[in-house]
Amino acid sequence: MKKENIDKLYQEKLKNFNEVPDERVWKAISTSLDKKKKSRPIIPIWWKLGGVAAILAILLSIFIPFESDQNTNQIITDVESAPSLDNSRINDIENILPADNKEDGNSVVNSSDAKKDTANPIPVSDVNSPANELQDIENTIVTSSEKTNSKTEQNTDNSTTPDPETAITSVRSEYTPSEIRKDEDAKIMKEERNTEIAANINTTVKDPAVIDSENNISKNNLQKDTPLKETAIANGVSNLSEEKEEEDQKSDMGKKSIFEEIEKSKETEVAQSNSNKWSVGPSIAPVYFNSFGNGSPIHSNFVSNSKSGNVNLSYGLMVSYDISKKLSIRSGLHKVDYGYDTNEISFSASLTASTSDQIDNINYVPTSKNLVVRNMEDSKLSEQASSMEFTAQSPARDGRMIQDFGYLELPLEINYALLDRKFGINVIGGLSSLFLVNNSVVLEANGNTVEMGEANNINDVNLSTNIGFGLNYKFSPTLQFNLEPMFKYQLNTFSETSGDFQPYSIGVYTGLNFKF
Amino acid sequence: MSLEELIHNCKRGDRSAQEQLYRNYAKILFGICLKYSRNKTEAEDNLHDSFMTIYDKIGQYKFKGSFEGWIKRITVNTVLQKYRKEEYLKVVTDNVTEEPEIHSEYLDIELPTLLRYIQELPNKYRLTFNMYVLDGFTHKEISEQLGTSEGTSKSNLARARMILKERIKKENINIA
Repeated sequence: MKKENIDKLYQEKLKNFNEVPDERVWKAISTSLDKKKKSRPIIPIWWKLGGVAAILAILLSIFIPFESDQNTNQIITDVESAPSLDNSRINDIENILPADNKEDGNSVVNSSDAKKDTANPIPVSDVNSPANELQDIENTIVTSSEKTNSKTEQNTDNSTTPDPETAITSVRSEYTPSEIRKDEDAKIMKEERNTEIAANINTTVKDPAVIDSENNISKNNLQKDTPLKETAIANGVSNLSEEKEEEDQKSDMGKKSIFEEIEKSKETEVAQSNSNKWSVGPSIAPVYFNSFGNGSPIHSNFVSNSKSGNVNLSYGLMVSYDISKKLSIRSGLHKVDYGYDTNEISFSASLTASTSDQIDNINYVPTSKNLVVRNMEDSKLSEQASSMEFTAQSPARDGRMIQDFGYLELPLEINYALLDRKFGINVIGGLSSLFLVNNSVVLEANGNTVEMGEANNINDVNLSTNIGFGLNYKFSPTLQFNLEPMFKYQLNTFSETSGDFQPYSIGVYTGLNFKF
Repeated sequence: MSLEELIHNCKRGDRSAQEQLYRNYAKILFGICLKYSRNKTEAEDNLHDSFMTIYDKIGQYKFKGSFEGWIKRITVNTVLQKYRKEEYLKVVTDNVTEEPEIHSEYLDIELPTLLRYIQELPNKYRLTFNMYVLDGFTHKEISEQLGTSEGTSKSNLARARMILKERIKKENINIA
């Protein structure tokens, strides 16, 4: 007897297998295209408005970062205004749903029945239950306005119910009951998803968020799904006894379908709208600050002292907009602290400290007015001179002078993708505006610190030029991880410095980026 | 209307062109969907989603390579995207590479029956069998698409063949 392998059998029969799909598929596609067409002019406007709002929020938070009381009041006002908007939307729905119902007749009834059938399975022993369900759902739709408001009332008026048997008799069954259950779940999830995605463009219903999912009935979706639901109902009637046995299996399948559809809805949203150009995400970085040159921004006495940069933290939020596939522009808001130490400092408290001993570039705090801060070398010379007069032990302490300054950083950077795959490489360049929020000079010796004051030659607004490269890894189309070593050269940190002091910072920014 | 005109009109969003495109290719793509999906309803869903993606991305088609090949790839990808996240597609790799043989009499089995056997395979086996046997993907390509290893893909294929063989033998005993 001749033997054949499975592959050959299937290749011969199924390699070029074609089948004409049911006409309802084109109707559904056509409906989806209609929705999409209408949604196009609306969605980008919302994204643009959202973007403008984000920029405004950033700007406002820069200029009034500490006026929290006022901000809180504004937020409360917003919250109060929201419900009134919702009510107006609900009123829209109240007016619309009954009208749709009249137009759609049986299709509304059948589809909604299928939806409810899945949500609240019919007791399998009740042979008449599908028909009853149909009537109930019809009532629910007619009185949807009441449900929208209270969600608890069910109208018992059956007067407008079309004969459900008409739909049931038109059934053509091709599936086993378990398949139907499973498919039905998927369909219903999909229907809800479609409604939500396209809700903005629905000519009648304006906002899906306001509508209870049971009332989420789209005329268009109903057209697509109606025949399937009819099939479901027919099988529900004819195979009720089988359903009992498959109850457990059905619930498993239902669960699977929900996850499947959640995944699918995410993918479809991404695929159907090319508008996910905006992305936002937090970032955090260790930042090393130091300077080129040996100058000192504090005083010419400290030009020869060694300086050492400090590592501080920068954190904030990045907002990015994709100009093209490779090019994006980004901004955001970061809090960043910089600091460096001037080493080999000697300081002492002196009752005779006169204004001539004070450093002009520092506004002393009252408690440190008597401090005399010197370069250690100068201090020794001074001590030698004064030892002629005093034999007491020198009160001077040796230590370092720590200058810290914190900024709110508003970057504006261009990001060019050299490699844009799951793993991406970018070149980043741009400018940052830095707004001074923290400024202090502290003296430290043997673990003790003394606050000295604040520098008065630090500009309130500072610019830096930024360059760096970014590495990113895309966990999903909407979520990526970034690692960006950046070099920032500051242009005008200090209004006057002694010697050559050109500050820079190096930071390795890590963060997540969510596309929306 | 030539294919080129049809595609251009679809790019413009012309509804009659979009319908014409559907009429021309729905039969072929529905065949693919039926093979890759678990049942007819899911196949219809997948066909719907595939066409929506095709209309959405048709602007990216640059007339390089066959248009039919391009839309078939979109369809396969759409279906794969749906199922690959649904369950863990990897299995422990075992080196089953033998191609099971069946009696040639089984060649008389009706197409809908064979299709049903495929549809009833678990996702990982169904997708792998379709891609390898019916659509000529290599194991390397399959492993990339499904996020598995080549070894897993080979193992999945072998399992799919075994299951199909068992189904055919069990349910068609009177033929042989």
